[in-house]
Amino acid sequence: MHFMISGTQLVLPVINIMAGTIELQRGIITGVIAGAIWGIFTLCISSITQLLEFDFSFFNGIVTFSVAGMGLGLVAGALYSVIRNYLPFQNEILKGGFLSTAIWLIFFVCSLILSGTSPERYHFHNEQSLQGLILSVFLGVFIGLLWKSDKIRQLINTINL
Amino acid sequence: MNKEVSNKSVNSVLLPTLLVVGVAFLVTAVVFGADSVIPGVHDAFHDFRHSVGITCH
Repeated sequence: MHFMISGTQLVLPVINIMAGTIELQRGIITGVIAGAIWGIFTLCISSITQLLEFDFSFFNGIVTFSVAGMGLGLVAGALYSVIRNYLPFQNEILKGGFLSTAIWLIFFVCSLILSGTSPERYHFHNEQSLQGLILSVFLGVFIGLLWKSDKIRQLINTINL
Repeated sequence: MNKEVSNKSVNSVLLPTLLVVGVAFLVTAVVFGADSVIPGVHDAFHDFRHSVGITCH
């Protein structure tokens, strides 16, 4: 009898199972689109609230905010597709809001730790943090809304992923 | 046949997973403005960082 099993043989069944149950590509595409929308939404809200002095113009901001939003959205969307069945809500929008807020909280707590270790470098701003918390909910809302959209499914089928 | 299915699974799961891990790393650099990871990222995404309430100078 052969008991030698290669690493690939061990991993591939797991991958096969995952491929049938988790729609990772759908999560990534949903997250990227939702993130781009959220980035521009964040820029618009920040321009209205004026809680910070912008270094760049609104039009430069469109690029940086949408790029950062797409990155954050990609990670949130992928994570959403993997763990959405374990999130404590039935509604997709609430699930998304919960997850994106949790991701923001992780980043925020880490930034607070950085602020504690080097306060001259990282400054804490109450109003901006509150704005960030509220905006983080919207990223998940956009992901939840797009996740339910049939157009995303059609897009994935069109590009044949 | 099985090998074909397995290769498809690798493409549909492993590659996106690697993409997600890579982007998560870059997003962390953007959020914390880690110039040591990506030169210039602190200034480029300074407005974004403040807008989403992450501590910054």
